[in-house]
Amino acid sequence: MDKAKNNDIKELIEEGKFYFLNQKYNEALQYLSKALEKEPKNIEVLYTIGIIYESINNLDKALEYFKRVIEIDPQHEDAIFHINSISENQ
Amino acid sequence: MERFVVIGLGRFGQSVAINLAKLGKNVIAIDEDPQKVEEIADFVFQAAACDATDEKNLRDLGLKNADVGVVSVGEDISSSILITLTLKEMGIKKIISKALTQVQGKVLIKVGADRVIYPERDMGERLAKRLSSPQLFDLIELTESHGILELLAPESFVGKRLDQLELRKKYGVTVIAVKRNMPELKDDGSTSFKESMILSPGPDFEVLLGDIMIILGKSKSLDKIKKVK
Repeated sequence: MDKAKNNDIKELIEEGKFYFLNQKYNEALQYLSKALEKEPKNIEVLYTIGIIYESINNLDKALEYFKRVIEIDPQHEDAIFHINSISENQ
Repeated sequence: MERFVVIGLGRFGQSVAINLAKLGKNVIAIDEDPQKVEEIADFVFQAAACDATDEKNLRDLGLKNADVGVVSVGEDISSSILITLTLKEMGIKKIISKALTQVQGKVLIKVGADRVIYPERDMGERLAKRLSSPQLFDLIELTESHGILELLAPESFVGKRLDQLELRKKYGVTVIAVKRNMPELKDDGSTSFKESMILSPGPDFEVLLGDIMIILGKSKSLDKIKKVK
């Protein structure tokens, strides 16, 4: 059962990344939100959503997701980097 | 009260004179062209049309008592040198001269300018710096009536091509560049993005979510486009 769930999330993340790389941001966010519903503390999902929001200049939302990443993993260097760079420019 | 004399009323000199007057300073504005003098007469303490390279004219205007002289006679460097020199000889405490190149600036310092300014170069630097900053800027004024605006693409623009948006026709503005974050995949499989600048996008350029549009136009038109949702 868990394995099936894992595969499911993996696929949703892959779809999300695929759409992001093709600049289909809304579709990417839809897939990743579905993944997040299944696993609300998945760091990869939270971080990717943060990246998407930052890339479309929705910096408040981006911060929100990067902060959720470091709540779970306070040592997440990339998330810390993005939080700092957004805060510096706001 | 500090007294200022501004010689040369091109766009730069005019702007300096008017802004100083707005700040409540006593300003004497001089240019050879009577029309330019007339344009500014209502704003400043005194405006005179005369040849500023003639020392007698400057003495007749009582400039000896001026505290600061701004020499902005434009591209005519020999006039600029002569006027700077004359103001120095008249004992004006501080002289600020406009130059277009560094060589001109060096000469102006040699003949007595206390400070040299390079408005074109400074504006270029300012613009480049602001364009490369990730922060949105509101408006850079190029002249009193025109400017450049950085605008996060409004929702109603997203997914449309520039020719469909008809911004020139509807608002009289031109999109001179677009800043866009290009998505990328890192070696470890995580996502990232890189900022790119698309210069003078063509009519078939499609606006995407999150694009930052750099728009040139009249300030009034830019104000209008800022309100588009």
